[in-house]
Amino acid sequence: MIETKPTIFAVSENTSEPAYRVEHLTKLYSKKGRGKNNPTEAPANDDLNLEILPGEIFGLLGSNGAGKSTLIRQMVNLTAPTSGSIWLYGQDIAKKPQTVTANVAYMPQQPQALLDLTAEEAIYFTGQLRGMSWSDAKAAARSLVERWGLAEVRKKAVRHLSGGQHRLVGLAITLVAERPVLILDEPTNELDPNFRKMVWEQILELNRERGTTIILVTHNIQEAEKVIQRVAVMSKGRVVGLGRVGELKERVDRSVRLELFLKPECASQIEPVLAALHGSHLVRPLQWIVLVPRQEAEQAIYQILSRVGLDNLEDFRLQTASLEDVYMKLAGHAIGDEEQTK
Amino acid sequence: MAASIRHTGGVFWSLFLIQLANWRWSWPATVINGLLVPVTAMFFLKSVSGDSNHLNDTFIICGNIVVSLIFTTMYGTSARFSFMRTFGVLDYYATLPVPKVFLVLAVNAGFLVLTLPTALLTIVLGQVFFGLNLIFNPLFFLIVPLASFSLSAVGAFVGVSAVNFDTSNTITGILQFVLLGFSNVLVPEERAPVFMNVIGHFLPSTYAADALRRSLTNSFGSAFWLDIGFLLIFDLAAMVFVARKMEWRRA
Repeated sequence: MIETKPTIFAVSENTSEPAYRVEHLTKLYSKKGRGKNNPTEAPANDDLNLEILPGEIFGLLGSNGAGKSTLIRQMVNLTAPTSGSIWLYGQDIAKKPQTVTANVAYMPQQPQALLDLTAEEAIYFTGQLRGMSWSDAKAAARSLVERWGLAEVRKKAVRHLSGGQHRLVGLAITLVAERPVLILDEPTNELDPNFRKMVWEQILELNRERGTTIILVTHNIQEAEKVIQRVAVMSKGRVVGLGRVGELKERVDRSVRLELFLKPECASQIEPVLAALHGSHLVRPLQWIVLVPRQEAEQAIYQILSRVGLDNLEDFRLQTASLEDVYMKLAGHAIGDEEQTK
Repeated sequence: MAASIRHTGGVFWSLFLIQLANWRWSWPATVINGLLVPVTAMFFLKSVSGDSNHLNDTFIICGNIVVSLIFTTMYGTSARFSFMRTFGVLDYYATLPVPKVFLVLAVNAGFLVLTLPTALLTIVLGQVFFGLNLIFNPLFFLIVPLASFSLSAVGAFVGVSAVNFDTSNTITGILQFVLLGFSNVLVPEERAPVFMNVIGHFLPSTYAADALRRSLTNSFGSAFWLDIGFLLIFDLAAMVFVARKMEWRRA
């Protein structure tokens, strides 16, 4: 980790306040995207209320057009809300925009700035603009270039880098001159598995060691689940689910799933036993899932495994509902409700 | 205090270098393109101006320097801001602790660096072909940024506020044409209609053109310092205008 600190920090972190507080936030776009608001248009954000606590990793999930990017753009003061307010460490960002520039680093989904600079220059100049001294910015840029495997392309113009390298430069630009709040829009897009793993590890490290508040917008729910602590699921401009990952999982599915992979030679003997169990179904040949109510899980799983016999199994897996299940269920319901009311 | 000044200077210098880096791969084409227009315009105006006299020639030469340093810079600044708005580059600066005025100053300075060769070549050509005795005074480097900033700020505002790139170009083109007409840039005050001269007194380009002309003809006097004073007022007004009215955010 880079030990250099920004020399200027306009607004200090007030830990008694939420990092972000969004109150009754509504954003309407006119048909042309400019000019007076057209009330017949569906709101991009519809009366949103949420709080993001200091030092948490917060996930923002939702399908395309759910209003995530509009919300994020308002949170970093790039788009003006139609009504409502956003508070960062207790400061209204519309009245004190410098609160955002002093405390938040934002990585957009498609960073378009500094394309004609080299990778190292882009990181270095951003450090400078965030208030680092020349020497600190240089050291930080060098360190980030090494850390993200960009050493070979450090002198190459950003516009000539591959999509994955471009994203890594974008991440390095976001991380330079460490801000207490990071907002990352699809940070792992276009990255290979090794770098995706590195990004998630870095997110966890920053959160654990520096207490950085991290807001993630991602479609990579399976991977993000490992780091996200609290989540908001958005659909049609509204928050349809908000809470700790575990809470939401319980809310959408209170069962525990036992996945069993049978040995081929034992299948004919075991399958009738499994078929007779309540909540069991065959997923594909030799692979069964048994859903067990959470409150009975301990005893039921022991009984099932005893009846089936561990020797008859290639493998087995025990899991609760995934974050992806939560997302599918909540976003799906919201869309269904919307269609019913039409 | 010293740290704050160092930081402020560092931010401006970084922004300026970023602007120069933008031209890293394309500056020769930009400089050549910038050279062609005023040089050809200068010969064209010379050939149609009829009775060649010292006053006319001075206006033609100085007028072309003003066109390249101030109007081309205004147009370039407008195009640059429009580009930054269209392609999301402005979002990057908007999320950093960077004063808007600094960004306009840096873009303006970047364009000035590119247009300076044109101005210097025009001075040389003016001396060689028109036999003018133009004097290159170090004050030139003070006048140029003073003269160009307020109009660059207008260009930046148009670039950020226009609906798209084409609209921005059209508006700046019209503005350029109007300002050029009303500011006694290419035509002496005595030859311009009275109403144009009256309007010209309210335009920074009038004082910019006059100050540059006086600097190049070594006629420093109270009128020159009055020009500088007016340019300072226009520049300060432009800074306040940019800080308060130029919106990073989208509606």
